Amino acid sequence: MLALLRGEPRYGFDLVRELSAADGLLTSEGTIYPLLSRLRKDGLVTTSWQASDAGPPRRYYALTPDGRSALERFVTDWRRFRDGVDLVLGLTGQGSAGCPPTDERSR
Amino acid sequence: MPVGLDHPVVATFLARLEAAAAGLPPGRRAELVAELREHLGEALAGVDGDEAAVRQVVERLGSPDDIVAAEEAVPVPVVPGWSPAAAVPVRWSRRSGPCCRWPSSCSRCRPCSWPAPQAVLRASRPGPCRPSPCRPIPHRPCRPIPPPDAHVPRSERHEFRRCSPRTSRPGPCRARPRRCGGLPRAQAAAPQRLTAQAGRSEVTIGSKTRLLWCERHQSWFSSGGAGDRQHSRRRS
Repeated sequence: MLALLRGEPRYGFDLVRELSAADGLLTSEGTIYPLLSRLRKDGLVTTSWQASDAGPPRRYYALTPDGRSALERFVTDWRRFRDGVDLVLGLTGQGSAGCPPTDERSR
Repeated sequence: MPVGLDHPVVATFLARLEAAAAGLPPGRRAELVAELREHLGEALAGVDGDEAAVRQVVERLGSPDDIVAAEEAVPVPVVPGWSPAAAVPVRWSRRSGPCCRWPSSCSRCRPCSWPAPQAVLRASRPGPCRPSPCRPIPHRPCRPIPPPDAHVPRSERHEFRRCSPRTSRPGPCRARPRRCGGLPRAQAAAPQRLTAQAGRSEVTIGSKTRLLWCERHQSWFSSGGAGDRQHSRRRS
């Protein structure tokens, strides 16, 4: 979620649409909103209302500096985890460009 | 013709959501319902009157219970026993059981670190979620049972446990910790001194247990059997 907000502020339905496009990332679209609420409470995102061409104003979510730091930590942890799994599966040295996505590799 | 929020399927979902969210703080409940209404408004904008398509939009949201339960979830980045190998940053799952055999009374276990739905990495194994194993709480040594004439505030009586290395040993939750609850109230108020030998007092708790107070050790020992042997060992 934080990664989706890395570039620019986005609104809830926009985030859901992008997550839904990736297979397996999202099972219940409605649970995104509680997650966004918790991220806001934790100070990782901020919100602002912006007018919409298609209807009522939308609540936009944007990363805070804390959110950016949390995202950077996750990326570091994820790389370490991925490299560890690749090592165990014997996939190191093949180059990440030619490898299938991580979830397919782990099956 | 675009479908509105007054479509029966949508209206039913929103009513169920409001009912499920009754336990949330009023502000957050209104906010959550508004967010879902806004989401439905956007999602239904491209749907004509086809009821199957409307149902599909609503079903993609998940059940109202799951959505509300996600409000109370505590994110855990890495959960023991669960692998993020499936590489999914967001996935919701439901807890299927309590944290340990005595979830409410086991004081040796912290609250389960896997409560309710989580926004965590998807589990790599199929099936319902399992809670993470219990973790021991920091070890607190037993305290000696106070003399019968000592005033023990009621709120502190539960602190006096029957001293036993087993019950105070840190480690995974194996047994419900035994608590003596302090002396029975009536006897704590008016201790029954049966004998007052040199350096000893004796008190009977209930119909079975007799405790002997040893001034030298500043501790109570149960009379007979293991208590006497324990006292003898300490004396030597």
